[in-house]
Amino acid sequence: MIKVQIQKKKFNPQKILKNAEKDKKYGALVSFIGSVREETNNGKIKSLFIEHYENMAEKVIYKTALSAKEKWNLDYCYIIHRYGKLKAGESIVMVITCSKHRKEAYAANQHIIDWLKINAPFWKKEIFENESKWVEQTV
Amino acid sequence: MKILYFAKVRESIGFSEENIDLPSNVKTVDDFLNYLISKDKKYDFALNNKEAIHIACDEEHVDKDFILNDTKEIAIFPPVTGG
Repeated sequence: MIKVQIQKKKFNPQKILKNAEKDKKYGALVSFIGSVREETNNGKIKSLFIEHYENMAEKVIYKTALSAKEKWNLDYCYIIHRYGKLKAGESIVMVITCSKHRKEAYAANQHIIDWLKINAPFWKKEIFENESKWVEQTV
Repeated sequence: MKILYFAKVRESIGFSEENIDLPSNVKTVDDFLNYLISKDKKYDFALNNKEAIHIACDEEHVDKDFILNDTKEIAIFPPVTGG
């Protein structure tokens, strides 16, 4: 099963994880959560603004989840990504991959998050007290 | 054709979308970028560093030599920072 969610509102990682754990046939579940850092190289941030290209984001993320599912024979792949204004400490993204054995779940999860960093059409802007800066791409 | 701008590019150009009729000599994405750059200073400022400009045609990433045959929507943006 593949599920992709792109939303403005906060999500609860514990609740999402609990739902994913309901089905115990997997054997291995790997979960990644990316959050807004309080401090970046540019200083203490007030908030993070995430712009996105809605139709494309959903389409390309689903496609990537599908190819990861096939490559690593995943039983379950869940990706949630937020947009809009986020505060420090809030979760931005969560990726859950489940497979029969850990190796595949780990590899698929890392592949998906690395892919999101350089391909998913989202743009982050750090908002500071007196200025704001678009985040540069890092691989 | 519908043109979308995102993030820093959107801010430099001053709006997020517009409709443009492609001139007949515009065949590729690169031709289109050159056309915009020559059109107005604000496009020149936003797009002249073409290495830092990424393009999606009909919601798929494409290279600059992509031919705009049946393209309905072009999105122009800086490198993404997802995840």
